[in-house]
Amino acid sequence: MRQWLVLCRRELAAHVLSPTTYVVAVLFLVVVGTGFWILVTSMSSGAPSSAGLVEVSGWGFVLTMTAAAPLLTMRLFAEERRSGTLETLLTAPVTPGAVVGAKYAATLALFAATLAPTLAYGPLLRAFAAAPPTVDPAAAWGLGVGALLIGGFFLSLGLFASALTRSQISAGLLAFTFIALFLSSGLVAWLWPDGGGDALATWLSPIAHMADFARGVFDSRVAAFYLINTAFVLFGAERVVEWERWR
Amino acid sequence: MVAVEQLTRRFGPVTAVQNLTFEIGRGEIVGMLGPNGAGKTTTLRMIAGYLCPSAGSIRVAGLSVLDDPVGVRRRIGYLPEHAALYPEMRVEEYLRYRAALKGVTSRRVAARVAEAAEMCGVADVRRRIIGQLSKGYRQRVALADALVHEPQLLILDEPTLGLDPNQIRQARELIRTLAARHTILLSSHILPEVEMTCHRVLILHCGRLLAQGPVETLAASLRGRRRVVVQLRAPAEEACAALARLADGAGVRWEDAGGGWGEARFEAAGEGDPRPEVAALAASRGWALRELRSEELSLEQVFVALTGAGERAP
Ligand SMILES: Nc1ncnc2c1ncn2[C@@H]1O[C@H](COP(=O)(O)OP(=O)(O)OP(=O)(O)O)[C@@H](O)[C@H]1O
Ligand SMILES: [Mg+2]
Repeated sequence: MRQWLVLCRRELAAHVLSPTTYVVAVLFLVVVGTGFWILVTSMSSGAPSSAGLVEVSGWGFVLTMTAAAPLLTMRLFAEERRSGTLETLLTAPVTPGAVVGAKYAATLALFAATLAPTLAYGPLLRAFAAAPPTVDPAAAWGLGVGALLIGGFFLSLGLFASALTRSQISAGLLAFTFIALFLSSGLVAWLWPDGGGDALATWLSPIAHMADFARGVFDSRVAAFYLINTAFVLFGAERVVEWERWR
Repeated sequence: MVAVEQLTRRFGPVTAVQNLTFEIGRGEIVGMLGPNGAGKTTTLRMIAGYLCPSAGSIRVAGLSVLDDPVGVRRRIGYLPEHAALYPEMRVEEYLRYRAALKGVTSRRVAARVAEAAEMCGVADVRRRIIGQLSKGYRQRVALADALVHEPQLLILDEPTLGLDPNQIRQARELIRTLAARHTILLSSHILPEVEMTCHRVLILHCGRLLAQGPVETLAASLRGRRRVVVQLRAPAEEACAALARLADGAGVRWEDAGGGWGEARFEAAGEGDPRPEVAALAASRGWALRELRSEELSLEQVFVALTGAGERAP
């Protein structure tokens, strides 16, 4: 356990020293700021159509994550493999599972930290809006949990991609491809129009999930869907790292 | 300490290591010697648990590398061939991280890091960023990392690679002092280096173990195969005929060196050093002698000698 924490700390330090982290943080600030601005203008113009807004912010978040997850994760294994430090790391008394887990946990924590400016959202509105909107706490929690679940899944895909290659660029592109493939599962409805395609698409669509979370609808099946998928992908990454010894 | 049995490792169609069997006792310094591509790095990586064997078994301190990889790695300090470190970290920070990762208790981390840094001569650069250090210093940091958790077994893959002659001498001394506390297995493709530091050598060629034994035995058997070079002012045929008595079956090669001088090369027959006899011969015949030396056989020639003429590196 202590070794795991040591690994986490080193990964976090590496993230903090890496310029990509700040690119991602700025990306989120821009997206969140834009969302904030849309919210504020739509409120000042009278009737905030919350449904449309939620949909837009769901899209905004998912698209941002599609770019941010590869950026945050591409370095994790690819760079260690390229520079040879993976050999040093894997000849220390740690299991590949601990390494994968620590890298993932550190990245997830970092991701949560880049989302942190969102927390200022509510207090700012309350302080500056003439008529403070009534914020549904369930929706606020839902947004946070949804962002972590969906973002967490995308990050696991990125980590898996990074475990497959020795080039950061290929890792990033591969991660982007995996995430895009997952997103395009919404196209099932189009391929298979009158069967269960539609239902399947909504069931798989992270955008629909995000919108649900933002409305304060917490579906434990959706949460389980992301948690299980994340665990599965991380397990795959652990297998890849272990398999490398045998190749 | 280490018991390797019938170890084989294949990379696709390439067999890098084949049926390797050897043992290393506690407290020994063993050198693994072989030309490029002999399979030294592959073998050391398997013992260090970075690669898994295709066949065969490895036991370190009684533990099987396959059954208890973490337990084995806890007892090993490994210096990879290309010392790879995190360039953004500072030396001390890196060593502390590695010590904690390898299970040194929090109380002892500072003391262990200070001691390892002192031993490897990196104490004066401990505040520097690793990426800005020279290759030699990075190599020393990697060595300090290998010993920071006081492992029973040290595995050093070409520990003097990239060091200047002065540092190589220091590294040799360091390795000898380390032997008091650790069992050491190191690799090299430089014969004198192994001869100077190790008790015992394993000779690897094309993935196979050609010979193993104490350094003195090996060195003696090689010394018997010395090549003698002599420059004389003498008639060619007469000199060749006289020297042929001292040479082995291959005979004497004579080259004209200009000004009446000639250079004869031959491989000595028997165990002894033939040089005094050559000098006596020259004196008795009244030949002028301006050079007389014996050349060590190069590693490549040693391999040829050990494998028999047929087998060559691919
Ligand atoms: N990861 C790998 N994939 C494929 N082949 C490999 C791999 N690692 C080593 N080999 C092959 O195995 C053989 C032995 O290589 P190894 O690196 O063990 O040699 P070495 O004795 O350490 O040589 P050197 O003195 O050059 O370091 C070589 O033919 C090499 O091409
Ligand atoms: Mg090597």
